[in-house]
Amino acid sequence: MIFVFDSYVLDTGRRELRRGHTLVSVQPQVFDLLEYLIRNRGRVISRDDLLDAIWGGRIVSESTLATRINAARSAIGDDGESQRLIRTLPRKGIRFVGEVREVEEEEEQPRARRAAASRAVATAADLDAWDMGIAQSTDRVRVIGILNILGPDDPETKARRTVFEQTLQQLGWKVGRNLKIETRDIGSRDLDRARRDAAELVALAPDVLFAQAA
Amino acid sequence: MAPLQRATHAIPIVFMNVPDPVGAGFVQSMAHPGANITGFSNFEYSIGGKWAELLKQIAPNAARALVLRDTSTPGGIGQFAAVRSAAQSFGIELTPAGVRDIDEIELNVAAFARSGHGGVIVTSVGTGVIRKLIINLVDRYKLPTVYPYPYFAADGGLNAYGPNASEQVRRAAGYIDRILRGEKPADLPVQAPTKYELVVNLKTAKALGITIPQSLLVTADEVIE
Repeated sequence: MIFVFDSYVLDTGRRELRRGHTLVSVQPQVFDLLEYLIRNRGRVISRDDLLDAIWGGRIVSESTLATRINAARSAIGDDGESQRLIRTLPRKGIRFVGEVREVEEEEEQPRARRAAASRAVATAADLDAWDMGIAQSTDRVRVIGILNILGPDDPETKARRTVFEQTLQQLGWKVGRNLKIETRDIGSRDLDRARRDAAELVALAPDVLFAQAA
Repeated sequence: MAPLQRATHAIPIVFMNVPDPVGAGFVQSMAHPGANITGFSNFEYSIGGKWAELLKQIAPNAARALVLRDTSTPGGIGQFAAVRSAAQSFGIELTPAGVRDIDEIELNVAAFARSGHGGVIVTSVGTGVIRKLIINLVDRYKLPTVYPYPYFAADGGLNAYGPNASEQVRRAAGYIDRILRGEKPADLPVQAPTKYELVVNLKTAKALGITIPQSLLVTADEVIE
């Protein structure tokens, strides 16, 4: 699963935390803590929950706990004072309060499935090509990120999307086959909102971005 | 466009409908964009003159025009300058008004409508998202108005002159295809629209009690009835 929040991507499959294209290094326990908080962001996580989930029920000191939480905050550009993403609720626990989008790894899975299928019927030559990475590069799903000033319900947005996909299809690209389109249709002139949406799109590391002005 | 430019210098970006991408600092030059950004600009500034001319055609008595324009971008400033130089030759006195604050737009339109012989020119920067609001507002005061894109007329705007957005999207998709196949945005020149469309909405004209001259109707690319 890939979780996108703020300008970060937490990729549980690869166990990576990325900011844009940059890898953020985190200790394994801190990664586990982030993943646990994000997966359970709908509720307050108590001290006992954390000990169970991250330390396997072992008792650890208050300071160890605090150090890991601080490390998790600092890895995602947060701190104990602003508590922008990870909030402490005194005597209750902590909760991840950032807005999170879950991205399915459909660009990964079809590739893996196709790879498995092609291996099943592959000749020796095919396998050589595969091993050299050729099969992989031609199979890769490309990602386009669209930042659109008009809103998601604007009929103009829908009309443009249709034209866009039709044109790409004529050029050999099809959504769901070799193409994935991520969109942020803003629908306002709120600059902060636009910045956030732009950061989110960039964090997905698309192959190309499309800025649709009004 | 600006938020994306700030967010990445590495991922290729294709833009559409951007006026003056050089002035805005998105590209080094139209022919050689130079970095990770290229795309399709929406018009030459001279189109501002065409908007003033159109207003004079649909409202021959117009002596004043309220111009909705954005002063925070080079595109908005450039478009207004072009409208102004053309308006002088048509004897139209201009009242510029901002597009950032919706309450302010309402107040400005209401104040402007109190005196007669006026029309409105809506420039392109920052107006697309609030087009419905603008259209409803000027219609309430029965002000003859010129809009910057065909899709404004499709939404009830009296008449519009500008590039077709679908055409821009099609061409942008072409650039995106080339970039996905390995070409560099730095080497793909920024292109201007190849086709401008005049769209007249006769339904709105009727509702506002405005007669669109036959000479204009015959040159329209589309007439909405």
